[in-house]
Amino acid sequence: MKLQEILDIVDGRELYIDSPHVYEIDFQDAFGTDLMSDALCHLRDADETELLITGLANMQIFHTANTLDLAAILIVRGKTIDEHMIQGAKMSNVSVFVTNYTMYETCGRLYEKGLGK
Amino acid sequence: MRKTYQIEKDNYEDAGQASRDIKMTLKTLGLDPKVLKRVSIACYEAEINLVIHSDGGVITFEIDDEGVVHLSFDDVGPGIPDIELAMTPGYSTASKKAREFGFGAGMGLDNMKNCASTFDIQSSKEGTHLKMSFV
Repeated sequence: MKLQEILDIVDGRELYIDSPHVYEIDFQDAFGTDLMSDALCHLRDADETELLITGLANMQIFHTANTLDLAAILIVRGKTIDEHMIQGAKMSNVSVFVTNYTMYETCGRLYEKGLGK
Repeated sequence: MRKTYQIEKDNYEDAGQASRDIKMTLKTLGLDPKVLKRVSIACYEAEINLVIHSDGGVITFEIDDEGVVHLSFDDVGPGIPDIELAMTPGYSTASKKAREFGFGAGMGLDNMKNCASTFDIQSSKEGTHLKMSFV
């Protein structure tokens, strides 16, 4: 599933684009968590086709994405990031998006449309 | 090549920067991507542990002539009272603040052990010393 479709499904918007390439990635799966520890355990074999969905909005989400070679993070519940955090995303080479939906509804909508099925 | 990084207790803002630098260095050196992923995960988990659980410490990163990556994490205490218990998946003594930053699931040490080729941990009240290598 391409990113534009993902954003359409969850009424998402861009917070930071590290590379336009993110719109060309065919996302195969997503992992929703507020525990970066869980992502580090469960996504050991992940690559850029995995979308990280989280309710956290701090520097550690970028470090986690960078560690796991992820290209995009979708933040739920309408949380935004400040300029300092955008620098963190830039340093970690990760693009960041936001949706106003909750984690539950975000995951449900994307799964229903086929992401990760 | 050898590099060291000072890690401060409770500095959640900068936590992860040393691991990111080590990853960038190894990527530039052309390390196998699968090995690089294992190093990155274990290094980041261990760096976070220094921030969350220790009174501060040092990360030492080295890559030898045969391309083996060595990571050492040496802190100044307070030590792990029961290493076997700490290695149990799901067991955690992380603070509320650590959990707010997304850590403290009790999976860190087990994850590191699974990522590393060799894993050795020694601990006393004077400090914890963790060594990992990656082939």
